[in-house]
Amino acid sequence: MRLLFSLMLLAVPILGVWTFLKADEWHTWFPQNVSSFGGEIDGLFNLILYMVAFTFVVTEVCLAWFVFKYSAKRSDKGAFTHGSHKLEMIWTAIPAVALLFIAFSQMETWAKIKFQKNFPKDGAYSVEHPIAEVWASQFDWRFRYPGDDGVLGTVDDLETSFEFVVPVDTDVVFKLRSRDVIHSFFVPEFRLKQDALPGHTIPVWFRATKTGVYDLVCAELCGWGHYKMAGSVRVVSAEEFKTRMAALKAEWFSNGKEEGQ
Amino acid sequence: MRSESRSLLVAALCIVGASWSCQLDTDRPAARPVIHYSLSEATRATSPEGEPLVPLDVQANVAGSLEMLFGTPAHPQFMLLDEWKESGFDLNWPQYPKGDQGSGEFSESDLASLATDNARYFRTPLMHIEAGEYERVAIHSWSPDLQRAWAALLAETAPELRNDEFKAKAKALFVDYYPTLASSAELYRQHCLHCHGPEGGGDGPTARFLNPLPRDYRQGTFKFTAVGKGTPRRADLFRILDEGVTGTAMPSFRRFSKAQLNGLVDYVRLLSMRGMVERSLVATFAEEEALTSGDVVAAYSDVWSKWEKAAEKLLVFEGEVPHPTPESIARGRELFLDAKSANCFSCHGPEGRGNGASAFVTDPQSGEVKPAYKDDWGHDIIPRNLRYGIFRGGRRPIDLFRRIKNGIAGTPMPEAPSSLTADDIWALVHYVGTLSERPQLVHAPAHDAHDSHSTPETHGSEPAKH
Amino acid sequence: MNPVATPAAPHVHAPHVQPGEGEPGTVREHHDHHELGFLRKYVFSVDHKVIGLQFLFSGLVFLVLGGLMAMAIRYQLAWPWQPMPGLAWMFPATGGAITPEFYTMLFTMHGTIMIFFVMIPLLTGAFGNFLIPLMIGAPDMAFPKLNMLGYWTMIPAFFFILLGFFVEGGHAAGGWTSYPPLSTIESAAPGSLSGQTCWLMGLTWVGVSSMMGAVNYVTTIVKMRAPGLTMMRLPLSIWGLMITSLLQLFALPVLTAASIMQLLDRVLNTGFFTPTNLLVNNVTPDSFAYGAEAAAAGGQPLLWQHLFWFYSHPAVYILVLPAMGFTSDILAVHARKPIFGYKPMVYSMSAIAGLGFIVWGHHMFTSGMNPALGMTFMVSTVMIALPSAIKVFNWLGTLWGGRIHLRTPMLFACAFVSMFIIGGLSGIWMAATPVDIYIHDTYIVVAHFHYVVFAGSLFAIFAAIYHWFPKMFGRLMNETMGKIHFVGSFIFTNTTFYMMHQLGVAGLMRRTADPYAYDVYQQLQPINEFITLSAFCMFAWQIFFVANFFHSMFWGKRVGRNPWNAASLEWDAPSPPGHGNFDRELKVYRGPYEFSSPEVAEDYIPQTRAL
Repeated sequence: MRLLFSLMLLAVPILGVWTFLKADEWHTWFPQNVSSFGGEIDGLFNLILYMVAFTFVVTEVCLAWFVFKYSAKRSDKGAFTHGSHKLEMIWTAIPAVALLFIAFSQMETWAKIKFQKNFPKDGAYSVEHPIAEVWASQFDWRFRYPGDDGVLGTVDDLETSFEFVVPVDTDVVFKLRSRDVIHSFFVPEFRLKQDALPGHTIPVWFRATKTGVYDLVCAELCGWGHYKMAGSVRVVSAEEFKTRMAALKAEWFSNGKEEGQ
Repeated sequence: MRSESRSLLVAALCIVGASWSCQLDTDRPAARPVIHYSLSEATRATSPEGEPLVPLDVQANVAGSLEMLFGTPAHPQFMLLDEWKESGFDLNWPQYPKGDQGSGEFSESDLASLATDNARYFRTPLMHIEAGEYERVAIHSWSPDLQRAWAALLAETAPELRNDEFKAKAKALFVDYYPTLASSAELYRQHCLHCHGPEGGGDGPTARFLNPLPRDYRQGTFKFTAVGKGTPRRADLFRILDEGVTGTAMPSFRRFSKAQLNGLVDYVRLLSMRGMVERSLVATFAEEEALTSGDVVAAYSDVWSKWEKAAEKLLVFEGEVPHPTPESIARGRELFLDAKSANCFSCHGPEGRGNGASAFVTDPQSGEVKPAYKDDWGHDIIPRNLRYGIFRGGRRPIDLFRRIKNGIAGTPMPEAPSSLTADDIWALVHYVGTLSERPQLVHAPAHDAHDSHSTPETHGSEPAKH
Repeated sequence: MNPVATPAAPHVHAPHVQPGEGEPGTVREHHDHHELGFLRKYVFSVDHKVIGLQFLFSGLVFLVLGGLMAMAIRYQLAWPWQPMPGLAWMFPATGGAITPEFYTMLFTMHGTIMIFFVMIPLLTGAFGNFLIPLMIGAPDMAFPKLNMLGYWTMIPAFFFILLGFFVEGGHAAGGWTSYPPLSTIESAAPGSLSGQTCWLMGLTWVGVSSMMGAVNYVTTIVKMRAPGLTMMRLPLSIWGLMITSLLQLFALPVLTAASIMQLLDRVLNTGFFTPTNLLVNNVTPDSFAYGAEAAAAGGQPLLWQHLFWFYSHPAVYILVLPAMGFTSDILAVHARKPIFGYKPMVYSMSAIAGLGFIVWGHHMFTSGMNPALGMTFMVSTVMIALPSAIKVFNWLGTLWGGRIHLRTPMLFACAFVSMFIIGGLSGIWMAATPVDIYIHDTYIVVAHFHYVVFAGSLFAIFAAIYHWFPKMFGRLMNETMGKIHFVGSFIFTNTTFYMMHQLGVAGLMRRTADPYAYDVYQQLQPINEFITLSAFCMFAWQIFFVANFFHSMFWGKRVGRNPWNAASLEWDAPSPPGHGNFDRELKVYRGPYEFSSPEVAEDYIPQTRAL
């Protein structure tokens, strides 16, 4: 019996590590990364993963081993000890250093992504001149691009639903707003998530590195239609971006003729 | 003690085993959910004495006729009229040309754009096919026809015989996909029915929590179209599915492919025609006290002809859409406030806040302010607050132009009076468009009314940047 | 008071106990014999043991309810929009598939019930009540009537939380966190109609009950310890419960204030949490009349998040600290070894509680809160892993060199350690701000807190039930059945929750009724099916526990005072203890973990034995 229970406890780290090793094969690992800072986030995740995995395996194996070894029938008494000051010092100091290391290793990336003073300033888009205003509402995404005047909130703004078109390899800043409840702008492939807070205009930036169509997901519960609140981000080349904006403008000022079908 | 624990153990094992086997049972695809079409409340209405207004045998007759014409939720289909059969016209297959057992509603370029969009929608399965990882291709439960076709394709070619030809065939299956009506009905059941109801009556379980209520298709009236107060075109319904209706609970469904959305349009049309035929049959009965099979066929072909001719009423503006100028905005404001011409303010209020005097009545007893109008579906309706900048039928100038020119079907919003010229309507479009925007929107000299308005959207956010 | 009082009268520590209160005790010959009616004995009882059992039974009933909801959630996630077995009759229009608003209600109420109506009442209400007086050698709680009131204020809570299921629109559907404006604006969600009001009322009553309990526990532990029982001789269960009560005393008022503010927002339009100019479901929430311009609400949705997490993060420790205490006690008893590093254990529990107050912001890294604040919260959150790590190492140290008896409570306690390691370690990802940008609100969070609360605390509760069952009912639970229960629960718990880590890494978000329409999540359905089948098995497996529990209650093997040869005070009382608990005078000479001491021939020295 004690063998069975120890094996069960031992199976936790073995199968646990195994499922992570198989994750790629089962397609339960990160989706591809297509943003400039996504790689850093994955790297930090993996850094923690390795440290955590080491601790996990060591402690779980110890646990299983102790349970197996010391549950054997024995005639003598167990060891009589109330602890060891030295050991306590060791296993306080080492994790403390490791944890502080983890905390401080995160700060640079966090500051880079979220601190407004680190937002892109020199490119085509900045906090003052965002590429678009992203409106979240129950249960859709709307994207307002500035019109010819380059200013948002004016009558010549162009509005699209569902699909956010952005140029590739460009620092893109947009403003995130919500009309009703809290939503969250989440693009798994960008490793980017930011809540849209009603009453606030929150600037967000990213830089997509690969063209393609990526799912935009609402990640904060926003009502019964939360799962319906789908969108997509279409990353296109700079030229195609221009073409698409021109097409959007033409569609905006259409006289309704081409809809004949 | 020992025997007791053993018998307990056996009993518990039996229970666990039984429940386990029940659960494992669910591993195979669940049985197809059963839903039914029922007749509308109007048809089933009873007099105060409890007598059905339409006799039960006539109700049964209507229900049977509708099932003959439109099938059931599991097998929806359009019945083919004799002349359709002769001419090779088949409403069930819109992707095939007329005369070739199809209804020919798509041009070659339309079909090409459906294929392009299928390539986007099925990008992951196509990627797996390209890589030869056929077992990784997963197909959603709302495409049972595609699931069957894919399973059949895999079954007919052994894994070692899957060459490039097979690959091309596999890709074509996805790229050329157009759902059958039954598949569209399943997609509708999973994603639309909980609001719009099994018959498209706008009465699904979620509907009562929504404001505005989901569309009731059964009268054939759809508000936001390019064709005025008539039956909508395919493109009008498609646009609603594709873009959603902003400011309502209707989201954009562009995450499905264009082919699937067109399939949904087919199914919505079926439900809408079913409702229209039902109303027409009940009306015929009320007039003639009898229903013949001729009436049924006549109602069916009459309803179809309405849908067929929808495109004829398409409203387009000949020429280039004018851009707003300070003058056009000022002119729009004048018209907006002019009781003799456009008279917008009487409902929408002098400031466009949707609080115009004529849209509300005051209950003389309680003093309660209530909406004065009802829409065609019998619900209270209030005018749009134009200052929210939420225009359900679209915010493009041409959309606003259509709303003003054609009015909104099913609502008290009237067609524009003939005294208004196209230029007048554009002036109104420009003025209405500015109501929700920041004051310096058209870089206009600050001489007209809108410069003093703070707007709902920018209130409380960062100051305007010049 | 005591007609047959002898010089060794039992009630020397109980001058305040009124005659006629509580049950007279069945195993004791020296007590008065006037029988109380059933109502006074089992329903309106002031006896801490009966109240503890009341909490235990109501907690277990709600556990079944919450579990059934979890099964429904899992069914939807594995086979979205297919007819739901058992619930199909409620949804004829959709062919038996649940509606999305029903799904939002399911996960909201699953979370609410499991946290506020199962785990907190079981850990603090049931075991706090049952164990505290027994383990500190007191005849009852300091305030027995307050204690009774503590359970009876749960009755309105039960009423409101069950009422919510039957109101128009269904129960609250804003998530167990109830973020406004979704939860405050009636038009925002069906569950925000009346369900949310019921939810708030229920929670407020739970808060009142917990508050009464906490006051009582702290007073009892501080004032009513047996002579010689210094604070540093307390069993770790008592330390855990004491620190938990302190957490509740300081954090709970904030939640109560917040829920009252939300209630006011809902019924009086006060607008604490509602910003200006919202348009929700075509209604401007802060205006009363048609077409009226929005009045200035000027509220802040983030304020609720701060207030809520200021309580609810400490509440996470409320959910685990007592469990840590029980585990420590059970490990020591069944490993026949003194607890390794008693003082570091106490200090680390206190450190967890202290740090627990300054980490709440880690729930809000992506909420739009000032990112600089995020950085400070990250450091405090990462550091809270340190005392948790110390505790794990000390538990391993306790096992090392012991003479382990692998009885059912010991197995569950070892499983707690094993599962807590997983739950604790995965928390580090969540603390790391940049990583949290990606994994916030994904299934990795779900995996994390289920490993801590389900696989951790609930396993500790199972361990505690198996361990203290003889004290509760004077009978042992069946060991074979217990072991079967353990094996299945352990395996299926891990198969259910472990793969959720990978789902989270793949980016799958929580609270999504149908994730598979997204291209990026489509390939995750097989994993979800596997998880769902595991969850069904795990739920079904609990039949072994239920059968064993009720069978042993009536027909289990009778045992004496101290079946495990444990050293702490509760085992000095009869099993089950009568009213007033102890039938002999107590004097404490040492700590509760004197096992395998070379000083005596037996392998344990009871706390009351003078050498």
